[in-house]
Amino acid sequence: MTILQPVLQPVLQPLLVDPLAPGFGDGLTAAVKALFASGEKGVMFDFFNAANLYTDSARTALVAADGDRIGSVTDLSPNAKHGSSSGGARPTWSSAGYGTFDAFDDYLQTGAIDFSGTSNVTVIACVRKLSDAAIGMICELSANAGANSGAFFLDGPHSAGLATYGARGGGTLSASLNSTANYAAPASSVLTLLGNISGDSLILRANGTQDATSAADQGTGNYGNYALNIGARNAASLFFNGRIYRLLVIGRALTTTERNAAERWAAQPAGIVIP
Amino acid sequence: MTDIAATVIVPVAQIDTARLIGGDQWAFRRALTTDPTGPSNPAAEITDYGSSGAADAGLLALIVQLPGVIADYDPEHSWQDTLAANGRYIIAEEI
Repeated sequence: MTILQPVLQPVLQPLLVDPLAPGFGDGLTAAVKALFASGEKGVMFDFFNAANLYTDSARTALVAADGDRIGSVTDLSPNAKHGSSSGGARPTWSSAGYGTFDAFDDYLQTGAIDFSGTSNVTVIACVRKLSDAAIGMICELSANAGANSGAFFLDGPHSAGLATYGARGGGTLSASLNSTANYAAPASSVLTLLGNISGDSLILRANGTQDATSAADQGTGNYGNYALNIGARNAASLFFNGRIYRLLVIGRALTTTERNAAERWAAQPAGIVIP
Repeated sequence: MTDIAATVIVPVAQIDTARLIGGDQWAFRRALTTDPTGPSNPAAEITDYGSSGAADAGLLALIVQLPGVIADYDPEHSWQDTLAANGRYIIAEEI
């Protein structure tokens, strides 16, 4: 099968490319890796590729079969901030290309990522939210972005029982927002959080379109040097009920071209077409 | 180390011992209650803690010997099934 360049064929790609074919998405993956070329801090996680996923936090055995647990996901950025978990708290891998977080106790957590040199952050996540019953943390910088300066989170749902996504972020103060549209579970979505502390701007995009924005005062300062939590708040609460396909967190604003490419990269495993 | 999949419920009275045995394998992070209002009540009394997933079988064999511990090994059961069958509820969490 001919593999089209995804950057050039974003609309046709889900129809014409076999997602299990070798090389699927390699062009976009390389393009997203290149976003870190100037030493940007952050992470790039790809649950689609089994070669990035280990069953143990010591990273000795790759996942091999549906139902294997993910003890470590490789950070594809140069920062090597792998996400880890252990025992019963490990999310479950599917060979369809995602990790499932069980809403009970599953999570992944990185070592501290030093964003103290920037007041801009971009977060792009491709998820499938499986329930709107309880608040679920998709990713959060620090143990609690509402309590810590220079932190952010992306969650879904943002309120128990509502079909929303949400975000919070800021410096000494923080802004928060709820998606204006509803995304009733089960819902597959590419979510983008654009945070700018000095510019007092917090933007949530969904599936390639701006959904919500906040101009609330975010105070001063840059983002902090904290662990990134995936699928839960500090491995202890707000456990996400859903799948994560890909996740990019980078400590800078992206150009429109870069952002579009990164959203398309994130979207590929879920077959979401980004306009 | 051999993993076993299970949903495990440990009474509050045994949680320190269970966590000591379970280490990072069975950490029992999820607070549970016997109060049916728990899913919408962040103030519900914590009566138990739970773990669900696959982790060390040998450690779990020790944990299940503690008084009042419930372990469900049925692969067809989700953690929701186990809680429902045993009258336990998650407790609402707020941001």
